[in-house]
Amino acid sequence: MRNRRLTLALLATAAALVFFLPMLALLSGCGASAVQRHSYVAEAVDDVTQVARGLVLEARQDALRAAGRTASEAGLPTAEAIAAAADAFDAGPMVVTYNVLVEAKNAYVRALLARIREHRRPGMEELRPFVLGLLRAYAAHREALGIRADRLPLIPELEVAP
Amino acid sequence: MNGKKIILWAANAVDSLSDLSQGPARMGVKAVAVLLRTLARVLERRTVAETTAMLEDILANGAKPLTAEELDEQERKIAEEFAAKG
Repeated sequence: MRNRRLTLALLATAAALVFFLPMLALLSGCGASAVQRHSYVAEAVDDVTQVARGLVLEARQDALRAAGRTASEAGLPTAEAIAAAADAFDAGPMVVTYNVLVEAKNAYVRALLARIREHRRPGMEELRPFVLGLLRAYAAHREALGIRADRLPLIPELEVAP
Repeated sequence: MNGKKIILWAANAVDSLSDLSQGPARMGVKAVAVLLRTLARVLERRTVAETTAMLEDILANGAKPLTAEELDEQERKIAEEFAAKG
């Protein structure tokens, strides 16, 4: 239950960032250059992913310990129960979504760096790999949730995109 | 003390508070700390060279995907804890 709430919180925060960070970058840009505005976004996204990483590892640790305790109380081998819990957790929405989010962040930073090295002014299109990555994270999250994914709405573009 | 330092101090204070909360509340508190840090950054001006160095640093030292080795290590430690308890 706690894992699911954490996952949903992670997803909600990521979704909020899609709308909030570009807005923040634009609003903060009265005196700042486009490069600076994008760097604020990149650093904030990195901060969020660092926090998310800690939370995912913490939730995984809780899940493995819970499995170990349950097995111990039932007199079953704890190592096997912990391994099974680890496999289930790693295939679940938290690890899958986190890894896709980090890839999205890195794709965004790489796109920004490429633009800067070409001495070209970064624009909103540099946010594209990040936003697409978030959409992929949403799709991966939905898939990893399995049957519970029915409760999450589909994003039409993702249904038609390869 | 300038505005940026005050905001960073507030961000660290909020971050410390997150240790007292759990679950979604913890995530929310940490998100506030991230927003405050972002605000502090907006108050500083950087050259393009400094920004490039910062972006390279994010790629090199920023959040990374969780690797199989890292996850296996966590699993091994917890399994050893339980094995030690008998």
